[in-house]
Order: sequence, then structure tokens, then C-alpha cells
Amino acid sequence: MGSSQLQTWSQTALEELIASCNSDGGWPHVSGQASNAEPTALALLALAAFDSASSAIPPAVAWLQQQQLADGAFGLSSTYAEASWVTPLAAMALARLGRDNDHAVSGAAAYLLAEDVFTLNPTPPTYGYDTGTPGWPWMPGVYSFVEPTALALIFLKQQGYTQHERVREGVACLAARVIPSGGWNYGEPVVLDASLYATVAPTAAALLALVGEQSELTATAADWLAGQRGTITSLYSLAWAAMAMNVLGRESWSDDVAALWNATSMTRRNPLDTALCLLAVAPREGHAFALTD
Amino acid sequence: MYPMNRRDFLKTAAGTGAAIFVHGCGIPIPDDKGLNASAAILRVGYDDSLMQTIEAGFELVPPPDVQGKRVLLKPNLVDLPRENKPIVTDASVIIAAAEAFRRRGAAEVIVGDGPALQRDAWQIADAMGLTPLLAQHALPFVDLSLADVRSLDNAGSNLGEPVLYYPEPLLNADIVVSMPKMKVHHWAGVTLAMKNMIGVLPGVVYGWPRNLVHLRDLNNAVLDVNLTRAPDYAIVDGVMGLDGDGPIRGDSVSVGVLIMGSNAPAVDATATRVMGLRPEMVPYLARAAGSLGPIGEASIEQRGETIASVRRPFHVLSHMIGLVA
Repeated sequence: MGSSQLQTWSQTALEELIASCNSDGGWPHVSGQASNAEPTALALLALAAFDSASSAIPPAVAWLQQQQLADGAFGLSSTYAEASWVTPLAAMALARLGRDNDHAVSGAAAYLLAEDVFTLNPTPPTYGYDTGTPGWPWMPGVYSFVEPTALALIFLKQQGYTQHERVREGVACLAARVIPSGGWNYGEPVVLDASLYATVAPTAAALLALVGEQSELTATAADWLAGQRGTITSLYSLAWAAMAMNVLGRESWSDDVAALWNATSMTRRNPLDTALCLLAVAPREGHAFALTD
Repeated sequence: MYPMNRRDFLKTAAGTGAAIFVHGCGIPIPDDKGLNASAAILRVGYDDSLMQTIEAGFELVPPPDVQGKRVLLKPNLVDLPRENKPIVTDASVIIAAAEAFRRRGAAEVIVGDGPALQRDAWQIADAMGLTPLLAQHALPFVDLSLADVRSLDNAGSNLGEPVLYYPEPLLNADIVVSMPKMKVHHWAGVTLAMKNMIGVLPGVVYGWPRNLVHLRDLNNAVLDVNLTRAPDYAIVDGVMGLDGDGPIRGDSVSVGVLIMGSNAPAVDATATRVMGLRPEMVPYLARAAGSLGPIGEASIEQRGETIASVRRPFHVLSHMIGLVA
């Protein structure tokens, strides 16, 4: 696909994304549903990359700001405010969209640096990996898993906390959860002596979080992810993989993303996937998920 | 590392909610408290006879009246199937059930799940061959993990959570059908119709996986979910099952049956016996006895095939040896 065709595709996708915005300014996971912080944050990041002057941005920012709690975390929506895992994404979106959000962003960072997470310390003998080094959980007070840890690391590193003790623990946590043969799954590489299977989206997220943490495990994981090309049939996983390949400076999967998006029916395509697809092909320079060190 | 001693196993339980299956623990025989139910066992393969077989099962143990109603089929799509391991409800069984409910007058049939071990439900649907069948049969598919949510008062008191969040598509359904895969589970013992209902808890709230339920004990979660919103009917895909290190890493077992019924504990107890295992040694089944339903063989009227005629002993990991009949 030539650059003009890709530009045409991205314009089409952007128009569809903007059209799927709810009347309250936020975006839903699936059209017809209520606004939710995750798709809203990702839509804002996509708009920042492709149409930073879009009139859809201010009401979306206002909606997202309303989801921040007193302790600095972001909830999903008024229906469920307690989920902490969306905090990094929401804060990344606000950080990208102006200094007026500095207080909200610093509040989110402070929350994440102090968030309660369950660990098993010392690691019980039946586990095949370190369970005592904390990452970040899906909900406050529960166990660390790969995707919330990766998102927290990306955000905190972007905010200058790369050498913070909590961030170094998070990096160590991701390293401890790598599948022996390469890549990551949700966060348990081994259960009862059996190695589990790597999965695309967690591997992509972990690789984005570990940029700059040069090691054999990230190279192996990146090779595993590259090897999934041609096997992914779903927009969510493809977009994450393509985004990682893009930001890592490896081969471009933009044509794959555009082709699958075009081939996916509108009843299956959703705002979350479209936002991720746009981010997957966004310019590498200054990418929303890039780290500066 | 195996066999592990009880002390090590209890340490493992802290983070994973493992049940205890040590042989000879002296677990009392559950009291069904006078509850009775029926369960049907039907022989079938993954072939064109599936819909007729499910309809035959409806004759043996009728489902609730679905005339004009919205039916949600909740299969087990736990993770991407790999190495040809039968870890998800077979697509042919899901489709056959959908058509069977349509023939009974259901106004709307929806297929929905929230996979536990990865976010991409559509990738799983694609990989298991479900996606083209959904299109051919005009069946909507909903990722329950990304749907709008609503809180319900937790009707159980086991998890220590006053409310549970449920996806709107499930709450808006008139009839919910649990459609598990027949599998052993290395923490819960077995994963069947009751355990399958954990999959309705939305990942957008609880995560992928839903670690809260593991930390607070998986059995507590199974009970509370079923107490708060029990399935109205169950169809267990036991044509091919999974033994050994279930629910993901085990081995294929050819059983050749569906197990059906309107009481999930009774269906699960029956399926467990078909697997050559003891339901009274599955903690959530033992605790469900006498409240959510019966699990004693004398309390369950067996229709269709007999358990003995279809029993196919499932291998279990060494720490689960107490489950073996």
C-alpha cells in the first residue's frame, strides 16, 4: 500500500472513529455502549497523532478528566470507578494534550507509584517464577500482571521516573514473567511446571515498556512477535503487534493493519480497535507509546 | 516437585485459590437436603446430528420456556486453542444449541463470553472456527468483558464482596445457558457448568485474568456467581474433553457425550462422575449441595445414557488424586 493509500485509509478510519464518539464526549468500547476511559484515552491519543485540532478533543478531555478520582487514579466510568488499570492510558492522553492537565497527570503518577499490589513473598516452591517483585495489578490490591504493568511503566517512564525504585521493580517483574521460549502472556509463564503460551498483545505491550532495557529476552520476544505476522486475524491483537513493531523500528505492518481493518465488518469493528489501528500506523517520531530513554 | 506435600500446596493456594484434594481428608458426605434434579446424558459426535441430539436432550430434561425470549449462550472460550488441545467449547455445539433454541421459539439467541486469559475474544473465535459459523447462522457475538456493566448485590457471602459487576447483555437475557467444555482444572478440580459462569464477570472490571476471584478462593467465586445469577440451563460439551493439566495444558479425551440439564450442580455432578471423578471431592460442588442443587447420585434422576455406559476416567495431576473415584 503506497503512502497515499495509507493516508486515505487513515483518514477513513479517523472519520469513523470521530463518528463513533458519544454525545457526552467520550468513546465506548463498542458503538452503542456508554463512554469508557480506555477507548476514550486511546481515541484521544489517535486524534493527537492525526488531527490535533479536531473539535472532538475538548469534550473528550473534559469527559476523561471527570473520571479521575481523589487519589489520582482513573476509573472506567461513573458505573465502575474503581478500576485502576486504565490510569496510565488516561494520564498519557491528558499529558499529550496540554499542560492544563499537569496536575491530573502528576496525580496519576503519584497514585501509580504508591499503588497497593499483592505479592507472594517469598516465592512459594511450587511457582516457577518470582512472585515477590511487584508490578501493577488490574485492580488495587491484587496480583501483578503483564498488561497493567506494561502500561504503568510506559506512562511513568514518559514522565521521567525511569530510575524510580518502583519502576525498576516493575521492569524486574516483567522480566520475571517472560515465557521461557519467548514473549509474554497475561503474566504466568509457568504453572505447575508447565510452560504456558505467549500471547500477542501482552508481548507487544511488554516490549513497548522495556524499550531501552536492552536484553536477550526482549530480542527473543520481538522475534517471536515478528513471527506472528500473517497469523493474526483480529484487529485488537494486530494493532498492538503493529504498534510495537512500529515503535521498535522494526518492519512496518501498516499495510496489514489497513487491509484487516478494511476487511473487518462494521458490526465487528469497534472504536477501541479503530483507535489502536490508527496508533499502530502513527508516525514513529513522537509516538504516543514511545519512550525517550 | 511432585507429589507436593500439603504444606507446599497450602502456600500455593494463597495466590491461586487452589482447592484441596488430598486423599483421606475426611470430607463429609454432602447433604442434598431433599433437593432433586434431573440430568441427561446423550451420545453424539461433532457432526450433523448435534442439533437433533440437543433437541432429544430437551425432551429428556426440558429447558425453561424460551418462546419469544432472548437467550444468551455462554460457552467457554478461555484462551486461544493451541496444539489442537480441546480447551474451548466446540463451535459446532454452540451453533447446534443456538438453532435448537431457535426451533423452540427463542426470539433472539446471542453468543457471549469474556475469555479469561487474553483480551482478544475475536481472535479466539476466529481460531476455533466459530466466526464464519456465527455469520452463516446470523448469530451475534458479544465480548462480555467489554460490555456495559451493572452491579448486582452479591447474593452469596463467600467472596467478601458486597456487589458483583455483570455485563448488561447477560442481565438483559431472559435465559442464560452455560455451555462449558468438559475439563479437569488444576485448581478447582473440574471446570463445568458452574465454574464456566466465572467467565461472565467482565474483564474490564476484574482484569484478564480475574485475579480477585483467585485471591479470595476460586470456590467462593463460583458459589457467589451462581448464587447471584445461576444459569437457567446447562449443556456440557463432553464430546472431546481435557484431562491432566487442565484447563489449558492437558490432553484430549474422547468421551462422546453431551450432558444437559436445568440444574447446574446436578449437571456438573453427573459430568464429574462420567469423568471418573468424585463430585463430593470438588469443593465448590460439595458446598453447593443442598443449596444450589443436589450432587448426590441418589438425588439426581439420570436420563438418557447411564453414567456407567459412558464413563471415561480422566487422568488428574498428583495433587488431585483424591478426586479419583
